[in-house]
Amino acid sequence: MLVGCGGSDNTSTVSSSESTSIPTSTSTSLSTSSSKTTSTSTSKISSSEISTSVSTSIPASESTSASTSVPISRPDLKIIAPTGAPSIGLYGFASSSGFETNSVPANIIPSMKNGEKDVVILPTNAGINAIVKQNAPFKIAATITYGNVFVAKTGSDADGIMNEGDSIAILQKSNLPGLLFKSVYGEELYNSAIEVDASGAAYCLKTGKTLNNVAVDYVLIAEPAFTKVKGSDVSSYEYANIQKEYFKKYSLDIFQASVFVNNSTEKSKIDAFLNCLAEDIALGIANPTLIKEGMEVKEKPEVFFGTDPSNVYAATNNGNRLGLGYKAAKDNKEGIDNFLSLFGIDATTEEIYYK
Amino acid sequence: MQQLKKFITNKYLIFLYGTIFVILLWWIISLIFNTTIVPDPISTFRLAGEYLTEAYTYKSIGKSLLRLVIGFSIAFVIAFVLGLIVNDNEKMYHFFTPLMTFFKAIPTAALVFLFIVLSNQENSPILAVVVIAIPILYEAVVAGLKSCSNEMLDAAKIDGANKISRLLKIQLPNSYSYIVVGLLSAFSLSFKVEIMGEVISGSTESGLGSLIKGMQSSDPSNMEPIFAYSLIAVVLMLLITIITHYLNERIKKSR
Repeated sequence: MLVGCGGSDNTSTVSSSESTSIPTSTSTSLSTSSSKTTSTSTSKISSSEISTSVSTSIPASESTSASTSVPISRPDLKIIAPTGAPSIGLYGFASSSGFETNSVPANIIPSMKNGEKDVVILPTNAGINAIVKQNAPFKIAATITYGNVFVAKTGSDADGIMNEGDSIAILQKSNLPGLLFKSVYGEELYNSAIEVDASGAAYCLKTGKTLNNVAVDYVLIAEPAFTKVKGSDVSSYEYANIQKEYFKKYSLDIFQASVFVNNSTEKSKIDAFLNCLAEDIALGIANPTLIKEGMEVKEKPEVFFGTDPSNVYAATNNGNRLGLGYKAAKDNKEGIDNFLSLFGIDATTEEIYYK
Repeated sequence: MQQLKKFITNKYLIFLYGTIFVILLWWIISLIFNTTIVPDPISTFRLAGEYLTEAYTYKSIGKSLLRLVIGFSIAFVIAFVLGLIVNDNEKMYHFFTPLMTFFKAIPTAALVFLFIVLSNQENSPILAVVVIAIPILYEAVVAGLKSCSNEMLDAAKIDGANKISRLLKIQLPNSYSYIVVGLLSAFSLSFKVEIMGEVISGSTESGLGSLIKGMQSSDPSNMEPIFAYSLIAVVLMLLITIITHYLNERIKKSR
């Protein structure tokens, strides 16, 4: 179980211009022999390996202090995250009493508005709206999930190609999953598709039909639900990785869930938090057992994190299908703005970026 | 024959028949809708039994009951005080009627969302219980205080009893059964509202509602855990009803 974070010389030599493994644009697997404890695993990661495959963008102000061999202790902050992929990246903070989750992301926004939390994880669009339109006293610091949506095939389509005439079920048509599908595959397929919720999508993939008994050829579904339904067979049922398709079309990542930090919280604590988080995510992608064990610190992890640790392990071990990663927001303003344009949100200003 | 008839029509046995009927109905519905959508009673009972071996279940039950008791106690104090204020005062009664109507009519879900913004996710179910229980308890207190006959109160007045004496020694003892009925009906409704408040607030802190929501989020296609935790909530409510009914009977007998 990770207690402190950082710690070895090698970890501290990461430069701030690099970024963590993102499923679409870089290799997701680390060529390391990472083990359970932080200090051991980081000491086995050479800086050259980090720079080519996975690396951590550490806030500049911390890079000097991180170059010592003293472990950076996890700061005691009040953190809130929505259940699902966004909270999984914070597995290293599971034992912290200040870390809470909520299964309804919209209910997190009031705690952002009234500034009662030090760190808030939210869908990027929701967080930016809270800052810009509701004057929430926060800045965007980093993005930690990059999409976890896939098109799965039920096997009933004769030609095996998703096109006009096929029956498609889309998860949350008017939210991010549906908007991503539309931007990749166009309005025609999007408009003709059936909308389903999370339980409906899982049911469609399991049975090949909707709850109303309509046969379905393709299902837009998120991880880890996809892995939960299909288990080790998930790859053979995958028709498309939306994240990869989006990147192919636009050369851009999906800046799905981001870290927002309170303007009043001590900068050193925020920097230490971001440092720990970046490292946790990098280590977790390299060794999903760490994530599973981190989650299992909680008494009922499937309630706290909104998903079973075994499913998370399976999905992360199979090519980081949860889309975990870490990128500093200030270095990716253009990508964030392009992502926000999916929701009709105007380009952001420099002031809302944490530096 | 007479004894057999008496045995068959015994109220506890009839209650048992009714329970069996509900379970059969549930089983038939699960067959019609398929067990993926409506789990069958046997697997639900089995899973509920498994959950009852987990310490976290009892922690969650305790947390939900604690929130319920806090909210209900606050509601009772407020309702009681308001009931005393409007006692023998028609004008004040009419003054508070719109407020009570508002409390009765406002959708509970809207309340929970409002309280999340005003307070936080942890406290929003408590506040929802307060708002839902106040009008029921208030009406029970008012009805109880009014139930006392005017002749008795006039006689007490003539004997020199002041307002407080009349309230403490005549009105309150006479209104006991009204207040108890109000308490019981408000309590069971408050329990449902408290669990619903936890589900809507989305908090993953322990609580029966948080467990139900958490299981639904964790595996939306599997309804069994949701049914199992709901069954635990129903059984818990039944136990509370039986205990309060028993206590009520004992207190009545002792008076």
